Amino acid sequence: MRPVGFGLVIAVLLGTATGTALAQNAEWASMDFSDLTRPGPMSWIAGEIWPDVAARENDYLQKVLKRSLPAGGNSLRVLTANVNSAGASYIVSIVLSLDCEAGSNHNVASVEPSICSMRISQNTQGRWVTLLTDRACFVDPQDEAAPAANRFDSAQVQFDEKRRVLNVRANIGGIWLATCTRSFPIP
Amino acid sequence: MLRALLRRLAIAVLIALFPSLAFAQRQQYCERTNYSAQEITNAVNASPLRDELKATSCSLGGLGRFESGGNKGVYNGSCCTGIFQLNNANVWRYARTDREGFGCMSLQEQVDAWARLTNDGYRTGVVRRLMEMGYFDGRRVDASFIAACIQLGVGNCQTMVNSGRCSGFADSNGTTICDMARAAQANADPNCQNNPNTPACEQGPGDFPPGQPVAAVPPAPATTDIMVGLGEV
Repeated sequence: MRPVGFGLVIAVLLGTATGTALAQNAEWASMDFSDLTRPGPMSWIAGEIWPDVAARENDYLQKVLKRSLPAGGNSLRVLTANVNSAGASYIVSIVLSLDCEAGSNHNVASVEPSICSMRISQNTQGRWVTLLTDRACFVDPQDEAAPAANRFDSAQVQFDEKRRVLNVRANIGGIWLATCTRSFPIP
Repeated sequence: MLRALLRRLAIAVLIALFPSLAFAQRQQYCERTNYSAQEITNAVNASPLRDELKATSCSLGGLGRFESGGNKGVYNGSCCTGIFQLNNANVWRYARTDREGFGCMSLQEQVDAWARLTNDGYRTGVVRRLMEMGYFDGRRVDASFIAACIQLGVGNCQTMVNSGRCSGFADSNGTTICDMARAAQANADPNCQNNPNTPACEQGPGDFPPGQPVAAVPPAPATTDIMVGLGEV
């Protein structure tokens, strides 16, 4: 087996060049991808947590690209994860928007994450209140056409209840990216 | 958990038996095209790209040829699609479609999306910094340099600027931003027609016919009804 292939086998099994296991830690949760152009269970998030961004993105679609709003009502893609702790419900969301800083555009480039806006919101008496806005890595969902090493690309979250800190990380091609590993104290 | 591990083990075995599976195959969306550098330049000139960058649109036509060989429907197998090889995130952000939809868009639609991406990149701090510098690592910061900086990602471009050297950032193939800028110029049409709407003051010496000294063409005297007599000055 060629050395490159062997390395990829190890990467897929172990998940990283740094030795961190890819196998999911029970405390970490992968974020779910939602395409808000289609009606779905996460359609509400555009109006409740990202109304400002949704308005800007919809404006771009309608006024710049001169197209109608899609069936889902919003021209937005989002990663989300729910966190429940001591009776409190939080949602972590990262939105792919014009505000992001995306990676390389090049014929020999490989998959790179985008640095996008992230919000941590808490459900308070039926309303979602955003506690914190910052930046985090948006990881594109991969399909069968993606390289095998990228089939498990994901953004993940973990809530440290003791320290009240939300940790996020991203795995691209079997490597946990240092630039995407961040911690956010929850107020 | 066990199912996920078994799935990963299956993929690992497949990669061991068929290493080529590790690398996704390039794909062709819709018809294969062979747009020339001049055709790409013409599309750039017709796009919403900023005038400052359009002034040297010939090198941007070269950039398109460098990235895709003029084939607007090519997907590189990992991230990037189209005449300028936009990544999946940018295909969504600027064209609001997926990579197959993007590959099937017209040349002009693809170039328009790239132009909007490039305009946004032009406003970032790293590009402003490069323009203030004028030269970076011995290389003039011109439109092809700015376009290459944005093309390879402003974050990666910042990494290069922070290092002070072109070699401060290179992609997985070893290509630097400086390499890409050089390639863009090298791939430009040698007989390229630049942007026909470039303001006159950027093309010649201004109001005077080129090739003649100013004194050889004095303004003609004009008539007037204001008469100043001796001693009235």
